[in-house]
Amino acid sequence: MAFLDNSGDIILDAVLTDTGRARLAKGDGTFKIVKFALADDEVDYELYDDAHPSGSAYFDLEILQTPVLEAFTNNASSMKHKLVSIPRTTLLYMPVIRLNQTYSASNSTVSHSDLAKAQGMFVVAVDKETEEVLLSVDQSGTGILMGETLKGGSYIRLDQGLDTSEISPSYTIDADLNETQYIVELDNRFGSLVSEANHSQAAVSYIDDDNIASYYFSHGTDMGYVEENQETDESTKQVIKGPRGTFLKFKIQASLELNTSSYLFTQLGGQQTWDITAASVDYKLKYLDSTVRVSGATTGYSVDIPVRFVKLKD
Amino acid sequence: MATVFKTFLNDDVVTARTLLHEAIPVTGSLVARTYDGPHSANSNIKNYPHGMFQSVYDYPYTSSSANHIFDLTVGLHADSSNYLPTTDSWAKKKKNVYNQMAQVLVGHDTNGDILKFDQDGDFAGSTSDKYTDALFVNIARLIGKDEVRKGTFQIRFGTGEATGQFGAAEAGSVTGVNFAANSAMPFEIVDGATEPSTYITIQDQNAATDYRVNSPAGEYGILKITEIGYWTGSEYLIKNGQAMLDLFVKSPTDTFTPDALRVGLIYYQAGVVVLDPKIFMMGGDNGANKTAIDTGFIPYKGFGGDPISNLGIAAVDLNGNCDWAKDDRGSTVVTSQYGNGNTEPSDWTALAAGDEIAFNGIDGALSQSTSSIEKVCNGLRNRLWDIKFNNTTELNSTIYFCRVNHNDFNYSSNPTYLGENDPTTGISTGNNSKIRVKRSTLDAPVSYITTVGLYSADNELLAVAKLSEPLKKDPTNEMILRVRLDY
Repeated sequence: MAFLDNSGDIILDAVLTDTGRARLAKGDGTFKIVKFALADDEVDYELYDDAHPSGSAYFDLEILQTPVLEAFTNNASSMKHKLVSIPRTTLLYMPVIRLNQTYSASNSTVSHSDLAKAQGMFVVAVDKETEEVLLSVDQSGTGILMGETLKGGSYIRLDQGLDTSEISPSYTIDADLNETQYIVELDNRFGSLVSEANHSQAAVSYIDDDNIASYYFSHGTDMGYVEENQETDESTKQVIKGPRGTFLKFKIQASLELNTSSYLFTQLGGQQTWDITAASVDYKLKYLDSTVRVSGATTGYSVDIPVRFVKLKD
Repeated sequence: MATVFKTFLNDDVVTARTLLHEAIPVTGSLVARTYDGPHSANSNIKNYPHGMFQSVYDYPYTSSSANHIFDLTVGLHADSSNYLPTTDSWAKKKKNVYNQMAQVLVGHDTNGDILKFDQDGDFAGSTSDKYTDALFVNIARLIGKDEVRKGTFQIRFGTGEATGQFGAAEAGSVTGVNFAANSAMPFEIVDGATEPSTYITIQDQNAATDYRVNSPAGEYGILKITEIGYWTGSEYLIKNGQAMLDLFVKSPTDTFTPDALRVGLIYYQAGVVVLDPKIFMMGGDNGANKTAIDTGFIPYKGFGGDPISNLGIAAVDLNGNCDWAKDDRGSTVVTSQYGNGNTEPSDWTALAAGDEIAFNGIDGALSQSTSSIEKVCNGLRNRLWDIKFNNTTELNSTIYFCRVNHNDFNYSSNPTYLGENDPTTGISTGNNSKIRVKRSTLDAPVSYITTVGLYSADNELLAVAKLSEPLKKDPTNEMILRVRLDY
């Protein structure tokens, strides 16, 4: 998309998204706009210079000169970073969502040196054979999600709260900063979300035209997914240094298509293979990379978690 | 409670209807001279194996960049004197075209028979005012959009002596006409002018308030000759819909019936122009007793038949005598050059096969056994000077007033919104939840709006709007962002 002309009057370039057009075409009344949100996707707040020698009028000069792209029609590409309404104006800290890789070994992304090519990612073994191969490399299963059996291995945990050492974690987070609902988005062709505790399948809220499935998890109703973080010590198991809110945990179950077919690996993952050695045996794995996006429904903060789906090559 | 959405109230959403007009100019040079002629690989003219019509593009049509502008075709009713099924191998197709267009645009009578195009749209009136021969210009929806705006349509044709040619092959087929090779325009240009020496302007004058609604294809207007220019910029046979009586009619008190200037119909919603081929019955060959100047604008029917009801009104008197008031230079009066009376001039040269390239040949070509629809379209296209009209797009809009109050959207979930760097080293202090745009709790929060998202109840993004520059939002200001969605 090109930049919008910002030489004169402020203009507003509006388009229907692909989802909007699809709903309009359905004609079933699902195209009904009932609310709006604002976003600042292009803005880099690090450009805000509150030490500018020329004074406060120049603090945000570079931000205001930010060129803005034309609107994307892909619904998944816009509104990444929403503005938040909080009546109080005295806040100095805002809550964040952090991937917790320290709560236990089961929360960490891949770290084993023999799996170095996937370091910093969660790896989903899409079938039992692949699970066994990966476990033979790293028996702890660190960073490995068992996509078929769901037993053992890792799970994904995200913590929410004020990540600052300026406020003690023993303080309770303010109610209006406590995230009570999470939205998790995952490509529905690749997998689905299951509970970490009993492996029960989560209910999909909706699947958009790009096959992105959205799951809503609320505190109080989705036990096993969203829980209150009651630990108030400064433990190394915690990634939120200040007052803590809730945390979300889940596993990923591989889709039947990835489990039984290599088609999507070939289509979306390319022909590249991931070579690993386990018990002196060289294995070739097909893989495709994706992300799981976790957003706070009330605070708007979002985190993208890199996930690699792997399958033993035939 | 923090929130990222704001629900529209009833008075935040309104609907509106807007008519959007665009000026559409189509130049004749684009249509006939910028690119190679038909059957060339670089042609913007597309002919079809079935030969029923010809398509005009703004660029060589084999390119994906080409835009369809209009189609041309010709139709003959079975009652037409030019309908000669025994000698014209194209007669049936021309009849089929006429019937198809009439069926769609004019409709059927109570017996189910297809009606003819009526000159004034009054089907209860005279039965003699029908167009039994018709040239069709079908404007593509790409430029016509929802409809042609009434009262804005204008088409001009060069009507001078044909001095140019549009291709060696066609030049070779023309007989009886003195064509110059490779002239810039196929109709007469004099003294280095860029415009044709004689031309005819046809408009739907006053149609904004005077149009018909008795067509099954929507509203339509009457096309009339509003100008016949002679020696461009200096003299006119007709100007602004009025005959220049002092020049071309014996007595200044003579009047004419404006209906005589009717030469076609325009169907606004259908985007179809119906033209009477008689507009090209002016002037003709380069006979021994005529000069190029003398020919070129004398209405054919002015020489015969009822001059009042035909195009010859400006060139003949009320008695049907063909009288010239002036010659081309405006000084010498040349009276009765072609003789008086209701007869054609004696030196009128019969048309030959292929003469459709000359303007008079368009009509003549209708009765020629070799005159395919394509040839007639070629003649029409090469006579086209320009087309102008305004199109209309009906926009049904929903306007969403996004009211941002002073305490709304003052914070951001942008990852760069939070964090703190050491002012000396520039390295993060690890204070990851600190708001960058505030130093203390006393500072007002600030955010910058670049995007407006419109959502369904289930949080699906249905529409998105981008501001051309970031808008600063803090607790000291309020704003209304007006997002209009057009359908």
